[in-house]
Amino acid sequence: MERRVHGRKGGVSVRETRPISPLPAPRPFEDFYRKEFPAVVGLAYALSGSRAGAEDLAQEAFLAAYRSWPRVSGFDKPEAWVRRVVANKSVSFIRRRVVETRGLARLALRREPALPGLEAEDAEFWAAVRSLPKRQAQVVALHYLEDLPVSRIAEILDVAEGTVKAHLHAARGALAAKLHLDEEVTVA
Amino acid sequence: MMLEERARRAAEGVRHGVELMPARAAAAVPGSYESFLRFEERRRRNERLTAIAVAFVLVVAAFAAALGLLRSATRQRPADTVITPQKVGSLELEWSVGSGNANAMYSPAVAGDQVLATRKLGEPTGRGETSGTHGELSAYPVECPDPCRPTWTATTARPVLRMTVQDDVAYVAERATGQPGALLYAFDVHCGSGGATCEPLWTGQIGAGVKWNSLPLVASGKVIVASADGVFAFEVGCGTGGDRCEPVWVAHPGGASAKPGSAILASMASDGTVYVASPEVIAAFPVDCEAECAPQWIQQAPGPAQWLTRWHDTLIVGSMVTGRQGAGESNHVWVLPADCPEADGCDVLWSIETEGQTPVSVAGDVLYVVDQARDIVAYELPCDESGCRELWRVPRPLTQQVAAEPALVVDGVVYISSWNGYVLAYPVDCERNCEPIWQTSQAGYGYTYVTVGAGKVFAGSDRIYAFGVPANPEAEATSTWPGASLPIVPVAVVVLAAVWLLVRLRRRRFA
Repeated sequence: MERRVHGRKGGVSVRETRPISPLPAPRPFEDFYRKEFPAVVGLAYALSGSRAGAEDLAQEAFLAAYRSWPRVSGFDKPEAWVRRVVANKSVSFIRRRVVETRGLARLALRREPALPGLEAEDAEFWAAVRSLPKRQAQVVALHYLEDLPVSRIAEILDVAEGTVKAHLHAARGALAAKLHLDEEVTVA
Repeated sequence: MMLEERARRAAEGVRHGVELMPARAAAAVPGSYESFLRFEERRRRNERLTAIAVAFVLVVAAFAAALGLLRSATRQRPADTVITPQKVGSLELEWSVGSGNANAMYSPAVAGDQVLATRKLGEPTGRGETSGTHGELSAYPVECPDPCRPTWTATTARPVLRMTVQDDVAYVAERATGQPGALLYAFDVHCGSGGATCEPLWTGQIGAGVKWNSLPLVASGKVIVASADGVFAFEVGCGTGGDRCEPVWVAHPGGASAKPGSAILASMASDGTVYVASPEVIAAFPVDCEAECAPQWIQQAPGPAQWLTRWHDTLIVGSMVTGRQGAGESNHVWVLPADCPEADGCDVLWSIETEGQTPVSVAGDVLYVVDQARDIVAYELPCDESGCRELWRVPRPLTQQVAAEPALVVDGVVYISSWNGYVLAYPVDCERNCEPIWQTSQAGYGYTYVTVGAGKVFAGSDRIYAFGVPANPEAEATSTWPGASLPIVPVAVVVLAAVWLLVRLRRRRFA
């Protein structure tokens, strides 16, 4: 099976023939998936709070990358793109409810959730994070889960570094108040 | 505890949890690439099914919209043209047209989106029903704007009163004036517009002309007129362009020269048989008769018959004794075998004694007897010699004015008209002492004919009166027909988009 490709080269019309890529996807996406999935599912878990739905959220983000892989793979940092997608999906109220419902349906079919439960103290922390404004929650999750510097977070969320710093500062203040903790940190 | 320490610990908890994601199956460890491929395949299938479902719903909606718009555009929604017992109470006078002269005796008939009306022209002659000099037939749109003008008109040489409309042809017979040479006219109901004057498709000689309740009958490709002195049958398509047609058969049940007072007053056709009645005889003829038609049976009338109707194998006759009740002669409803095997007739099967003249009609298995001097009664059929079971009765209605015509039953409503412009409506399943569910005194003055069609009730007396159910904007807005309000173009665009999406999903592959 082959596909004809038409184009112009040096002002002269040329015709070349190349084979269509066979399914499944080529190796680069698989490698990308294997490398990035754990961090992305962790981000989804932290931001959605759903044990049952975190895997679905992460897979949806990767599915979006998979379906647009020729474009996404051309980005400087496809891993940043997939994190932005999952960060946005995870804080969407409707999306969270959909994946939660799907996850509960899976539980009803006696399939255990993908993720084990957190310690009570950790669960309380992430619950406090999720109660923050969406952008603050995203910044905090990216910062602590992956130890990302402000510049990387700004890249992922496609905002200015100053904005990230402001959100992080505000988030820390709010979290310290909610959790009755001291706030003594420096922003990287 | 410091926030930073707590946050780091919580992040470590998440990372640890991710590392411990349990295996579900060897081929689909959560987080594995195989698991993702399964997820992708499942999602693609779900999207395809969703797209199919959405496309299906939209296509159905588009068809509903198209059909709804079509019906709305042509105003042919069945629900709009049915006056049910629930809607009849809302009837209001919408328009009327005519001279206002009670002697004109307007009579309506519905022909598609037109209402045709006959009337007598000229001053009263003082000779009862034969008054007037000639007749007129006019067509009006069912929704006649103000001022209401005829679509077309036609005149007849003598007065006309009743008509029959069948297959877009109106048949109207001249009334008896005591002179021979009356005509039957056939008019194309679409013969003109803009007030044009129409000529008949064809005419035919019908002897002395029709009496009171005899109107043209159409059966088995023939139009049959029971004239005062005989029965005349013509082929329905016997001519065009004003041809004068010859009858295919003629019969004289009263003898070659009918005596005064023995004229045929009523006729009806059913199951290939024409029944006629005069004060003296009742007779039956086959519709497909020979040129000089002999009756299947003819018998002495048990009394002066003026109305005929049929129920299964029985012929029901209403009488018209006038002014002789005091002399010991009363009115009756007589019931005879419709298929009498004896040439000279059969005995009366059963009868009901009434006081006044007795128009009769049958709808379903109910016999409606309008005793012009007393009550209107609905009897359950069959009756027998032991009597009839009375379903309901309307005691002395119409504010002292007698009912004129046989009860007209349409869509579960029984319509009664009077001699003074009243029209009343009753439900067919009325209570024992029945009260009207609608009545009007706005149907003019004089003997009143009523007909129902095209979503309206038409009454003819000194004018033509049209009663309709007013449009209800709220009902329109909550129409049970959802497609009627859907815009067809946007729906079509959405359907095309859905189909495109479906095709795209089917072709989606990782390039």
